[in-house]
Amino acid sequence: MLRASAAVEAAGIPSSSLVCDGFLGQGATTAVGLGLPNLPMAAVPGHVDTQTDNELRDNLTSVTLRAVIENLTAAPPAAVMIPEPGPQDVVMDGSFEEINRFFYENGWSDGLPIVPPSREKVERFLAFTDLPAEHEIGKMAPDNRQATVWNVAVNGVMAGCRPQYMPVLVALAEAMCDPGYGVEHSGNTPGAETLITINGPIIKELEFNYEQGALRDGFQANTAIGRWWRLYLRNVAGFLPHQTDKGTFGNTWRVVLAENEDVLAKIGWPPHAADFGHGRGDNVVTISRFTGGDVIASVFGQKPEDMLPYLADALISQTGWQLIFTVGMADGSYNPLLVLSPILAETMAKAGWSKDDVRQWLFENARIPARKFEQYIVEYTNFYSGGRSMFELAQLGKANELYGTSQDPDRLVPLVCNPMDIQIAVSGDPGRTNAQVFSHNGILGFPTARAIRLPNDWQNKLAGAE
Amino acid sequence: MSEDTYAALWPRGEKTVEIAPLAPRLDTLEGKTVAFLWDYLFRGDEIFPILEAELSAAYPDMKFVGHTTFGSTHGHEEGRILADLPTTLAENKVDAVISGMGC
Amino acid sequence: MIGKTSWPVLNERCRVSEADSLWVLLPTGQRASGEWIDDTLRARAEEQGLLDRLTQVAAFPRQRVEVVRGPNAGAEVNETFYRRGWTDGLPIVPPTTNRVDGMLRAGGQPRHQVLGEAEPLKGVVTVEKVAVNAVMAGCEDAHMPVVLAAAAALLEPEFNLRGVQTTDENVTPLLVLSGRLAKTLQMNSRFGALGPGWRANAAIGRAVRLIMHNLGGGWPAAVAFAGLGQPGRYSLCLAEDDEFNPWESLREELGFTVDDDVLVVQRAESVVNVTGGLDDLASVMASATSAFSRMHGGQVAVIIAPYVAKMLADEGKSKAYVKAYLHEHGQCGAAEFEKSWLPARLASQTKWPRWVRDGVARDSVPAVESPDHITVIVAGGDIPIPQCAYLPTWGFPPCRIAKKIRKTSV
Repeated sequence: MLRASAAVEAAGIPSSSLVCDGFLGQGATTAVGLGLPNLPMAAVPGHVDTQTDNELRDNLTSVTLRAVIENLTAAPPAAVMIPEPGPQDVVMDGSFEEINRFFYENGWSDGLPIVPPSREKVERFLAFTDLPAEHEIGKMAPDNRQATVWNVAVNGVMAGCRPQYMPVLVALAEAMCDPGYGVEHSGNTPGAETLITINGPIIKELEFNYEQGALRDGFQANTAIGRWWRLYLRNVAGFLPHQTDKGTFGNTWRVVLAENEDVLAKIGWPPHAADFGHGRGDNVVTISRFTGGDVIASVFGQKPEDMLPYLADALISQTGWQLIFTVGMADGSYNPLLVLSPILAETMAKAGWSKDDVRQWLFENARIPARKFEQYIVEYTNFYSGGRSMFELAQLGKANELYGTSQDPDRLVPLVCNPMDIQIAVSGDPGRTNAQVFSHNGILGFPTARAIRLPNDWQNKLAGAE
Repeated sequence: MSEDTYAALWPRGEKTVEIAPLAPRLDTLEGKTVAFLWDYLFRGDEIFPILEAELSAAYPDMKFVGHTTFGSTHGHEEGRILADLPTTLAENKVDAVISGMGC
Repeated sequence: MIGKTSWPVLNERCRVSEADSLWVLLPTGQRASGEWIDDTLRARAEEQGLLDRLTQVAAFPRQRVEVVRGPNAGAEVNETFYRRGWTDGLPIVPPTTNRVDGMLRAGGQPRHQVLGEAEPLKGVVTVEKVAVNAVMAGCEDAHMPVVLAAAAALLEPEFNLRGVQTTDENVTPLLVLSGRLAKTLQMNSRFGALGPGWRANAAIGRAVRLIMHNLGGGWPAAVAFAGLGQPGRYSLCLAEDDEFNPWESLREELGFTVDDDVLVVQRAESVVNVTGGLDDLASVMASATSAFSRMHGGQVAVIIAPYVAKMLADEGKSKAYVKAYLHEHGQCGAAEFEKSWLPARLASQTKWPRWVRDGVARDSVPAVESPDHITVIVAGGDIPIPQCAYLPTWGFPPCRIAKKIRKTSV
């Protein structure tokens, strides 16, 4: 919303941005990131969702109105730049405990001990990329700070990564800066958390775990890189709880999910990265923001037709308010993830099913009554308040035509607009018939992939690393 | 007792934003055209009519352009809609904008 | 000053123990948008020639915590904070993380809670920043609930903090604690109640000033242009004396119970000492000291000495009688009013309140609009040469703010 106001100001027209009390701080910080620290805002007392009509009217007329008029007619004072440390400055010289305390007290740490990022340690990371330290990866909202190879490494040291993880970290920073991902939404109130998936020979080279406990801590590559992600969101993107990160509950960093490429090769299924145009054997990371999900235990059946109804039901049960990302807001951007254990994938492949066959079946069968779909996006959440039914929206071209096949409220409609919207990956305990479903935050953390660039002489460097 | 010390580097990135100037403000709202921009969240559709009524009462010659003229500022068309704003605002002879809702 | 600076490396490789390091939280204000108010203050200070004395304005790491090392760390913090413009000129207690944590525990509110923005420079007032400034002022942990109540009062729109900070008048917040908490905190309500020596009176008032200074940015001669200011800008804080007060307590007058602890906050100009009783007080109230209650309206305060209070009560006179008497007898003639500075010079530009114009027409101009605009406080030493006081006011809107002190287990 503030980006719209910034665009208005850039067009030479004054704006007034309506902001609930609880958002004011975040709004002000976001405004700074937009280069408009004095962007005028008009406060709406309290939070609108919990006010009666009369309370809302009273608040608007007694407080907000005046502020709107002032925003549009009174010039705010000129803004001032904020001087800060230089990008490669030492901020503290001290013991391990002192540095940890200092970083924590200043909001640069996640509360666990960090590895003090000394120049020497950072340089060991820089040896694993051919990009120069000053190379600019991109700028990210809300802070509009520069992501550089250098600060990727600094945070990599802090997170407890090994130097040889650097190519993965750089690729992740690049993905984070990709406008298609939408990092600027990372502080939204649902508090969804990114899942990183990784493909390619680098899985084995860096000893990622891709078997039992694939989503559990305990394996340095998966764990430290997952931790790096949130440290980077904190220190460079600028998401801090109680300020720009407004996740109601939030989650914490997920460990990196590595696919079981041996199984994929055996059964002839493509890697997850193939969804983004990459090939088998390419080193790729993908990122998506997921709101939650569940383990789908004991998927029983000897044939896909016996197993998939349960998995379709799992997609349904794990999808609720997120349907707003199929119809209503950023249509067709809902991309849930289904992680199959190897034995489940093998069973399906043995019956001659490709990954796309599985998607197609799920697309056709993971369906709910239109009335239920509308209940989620309208009655329960008020996310969509336009007063039109899905049928009407489809007629007007504002929803995918799949939702306008009839007006029958009991007609079954899909959770996604396209079978390819269902992400599928293969990992986990190879012998357990469990799956995992992740529900997705739609456009607010859209699946994005990035190839991992290795330095020259990667193999030798790797051999020489700890 | 020898205790290791470390020279710890700053973990953040350099702020790169230049401060863009705000658009000039109006000297009065009398006779001006105000547009509403909405991200389709948080009861903007109820709030805008109330503000419009109050502003009209204070400034009888004001004109208003509704949010539907522009589309959602937070949907998947956000990029296009914002990029088109200079044109759409000019076409509608808009003098000022009320943009919501941040909650 | 803008852009890259190289920050001093804090340890020149000399081995100092942790005991020689002070980890201090920075007391100064940051706006909601992230800007530090010191950058604005530096520009103002430079314009006004203050940088010869305040040599380090805006020269500090833009962080929450700073580490100062060495055997003289405390002295260094004091000197540095002074030169950065963060003090009232007296030494401060370095606000270490430990001390601030203690203050926060006593306050009972979460450290990141935002109470508001302090005018005029709109530094965000968080509970933590309040605690930092309270530590600096010399408060005990037990004082924190009172400091929090005072901060909340300052941020009420009717206090008009912006006006108080930027006016040429010498107005300052008057803090009066009504309730038994005063005894618990050993806040003085008797001999020397407005003078030095009692930590609660001194430190709580001082904390309020540091909050105004460091979060609101009301730096004298840079942003605040009070012609003289006054000693009450160091601290103006006392307790109402329950034993000497023969009438209803302030807290009961304001709708609370006798068991509540209530902080009453008003805007006050310099305390005018009045030896005597109601007639003497009235004559002072009638004079030019009431220039601004006549111009702006608002609540004034009088302190009635215990001797006078007892005498009046023995005569059967109530607090309401006292207020009515002072209102009726604290009036000046029209000619005297019209030749005083403000009416004489601003007559054409100022619309005086209706009650003042009516008073001019009657040739008897009151100091305040009604008896209710007088806050009566019984305090001071019990001596037969009674020391009363009149505290004029300044500014609008009318302001008598009452904040109940939360009871926390300390």
